[in-house]
Amino acid sequence: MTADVSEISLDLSGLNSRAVNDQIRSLISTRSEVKRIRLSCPEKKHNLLNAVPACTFVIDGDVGDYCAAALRDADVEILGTAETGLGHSLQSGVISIRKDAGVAVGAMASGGLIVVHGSAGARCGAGLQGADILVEGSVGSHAGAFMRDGTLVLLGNVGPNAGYGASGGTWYVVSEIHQSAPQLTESRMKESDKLRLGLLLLNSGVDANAKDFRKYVIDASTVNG
Amino acid sequence: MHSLKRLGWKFPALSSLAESPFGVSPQLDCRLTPPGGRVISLKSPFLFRRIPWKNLSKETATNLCAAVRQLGSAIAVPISMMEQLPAAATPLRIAQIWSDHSPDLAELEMSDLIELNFCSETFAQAEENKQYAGAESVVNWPIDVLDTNSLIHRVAMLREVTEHKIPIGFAIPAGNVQADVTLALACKVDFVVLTWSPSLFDDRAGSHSTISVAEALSEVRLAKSSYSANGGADELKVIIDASLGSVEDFAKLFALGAHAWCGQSAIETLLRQPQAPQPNIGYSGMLSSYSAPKAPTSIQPQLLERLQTYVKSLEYIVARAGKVRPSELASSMLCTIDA
Repeated sequence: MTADVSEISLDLSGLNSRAVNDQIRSLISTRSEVKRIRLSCPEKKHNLLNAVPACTFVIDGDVGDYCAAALRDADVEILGTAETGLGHSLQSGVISIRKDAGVAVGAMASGGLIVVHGSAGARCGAGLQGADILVEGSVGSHAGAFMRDGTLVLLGNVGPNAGYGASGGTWYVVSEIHQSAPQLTESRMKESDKLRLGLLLLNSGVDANAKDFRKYVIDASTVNG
Repeated sequence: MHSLKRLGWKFPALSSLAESPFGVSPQLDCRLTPPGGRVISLKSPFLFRRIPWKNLSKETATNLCAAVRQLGSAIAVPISMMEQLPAAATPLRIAQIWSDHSPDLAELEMSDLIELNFCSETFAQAEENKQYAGAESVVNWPIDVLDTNSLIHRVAMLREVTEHKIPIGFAIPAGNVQADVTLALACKVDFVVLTWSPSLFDDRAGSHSTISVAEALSEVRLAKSSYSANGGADELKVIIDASLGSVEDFAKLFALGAHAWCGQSAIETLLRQPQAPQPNIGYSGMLSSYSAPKAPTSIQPQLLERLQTYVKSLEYIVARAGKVRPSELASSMLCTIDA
């Protein structure tokens, strides 16, 4: 009987993030048979998995600030919580987190999907440039601040100042948005919206019905400049 | 406007310079050393941050980039323009990160310097109190940052993403320099740009009170000396973004502790310069209106000539002081002149 060489486990205890990221980069470049890397004991390390090559990662624990930033085509599953800037500048791929995430989830992300099964902090999707973010719980203030493109799917409550300074993008929200920026206006859910949202929910593994959502968009006539 | 005009030089007597490296050509380059070890060297100590690209023709923009390349300096060029430039005109590029825009990974890879804006804690607090007194919370920092701790981690993230190879710096309004430079030192950035002129992109910068260049640079020295116990303060390069009253003031910046100057005021002056006067009165005016329009003169030689006067003046001062590098000039070489 041979061992499964496509999955590798790494114990991160005592290592610094830079050493971990370098180790992962060299591992993926030298051993092409590795398809899945399981990281245990992350010890809330900051900057974990920043700009590492495409692979499937499972992080067994809580991570610190700016985890999985600037990723391209990677698939990351976090079984604990994350602090500030999860999936910052994500280019493509999927990041999924089982528990809560901190401030600025998916800030500046230009592609890919981020799924938060818990709640997210303030500035969720700030400066979003095309990625999709789904939050099962509630989000804090300034959700989608300065957002330019992309989709926010919010199943819980939405904090104040949603869409602050935003110039584009789409919000699908179950509850009403209170105290939003003036340019964020409710729009009619079309069949194409329901189809797209249904696919997003399906990909995220979230049990919800697209019919229950309201759609909000940026009213171009009120955007300055 | 700035108190540099009131400063004069105290040069040592020529007889005392007998053993100094007199005659050796001064080295004016400004070296930025990120932790990854790849040194970015600005051959001339200039930086060009805020260029009104939208108002420039393609030819002028290309000439401008070619001039900056010839000088060996860095300029904030949009990535779309950078891709169109011929190889001979490709300068060092500054990527600017504003609160509503962040360059993506591909753009960062094409950058030689990264400049983060909105990195002043005191500025953020002052703006919050002044403009948004009624609001629950406002976005003053880069949008994914809530406090100084987050800023430190964000810079660390940028370092990791760029594999510690690209110099990262802060652009801060010159109001609370000591606190902001201490923050920059804590974030371990490679350079700070102190800005005076109102920014084209940030209408808040114009309303922020600033101190004089000389005062700001003395605050920088204070912040560096109080931080130097931890080490690493000498690596922080200080860049001044203010228009200078005269060419003579340029060398004074270096004696006060600056390492480079943002020379876009020289470009702005050239762009605003009126065309050669044409006779437009009477018969001669009618003749000139029928003649074919003259091709506009290239900005490249004019800009080079203008900036070379700054370089020559600095070279003279460094050589006259018996030094080799501008960083060896000290504030003790300056004295106040009574008006």
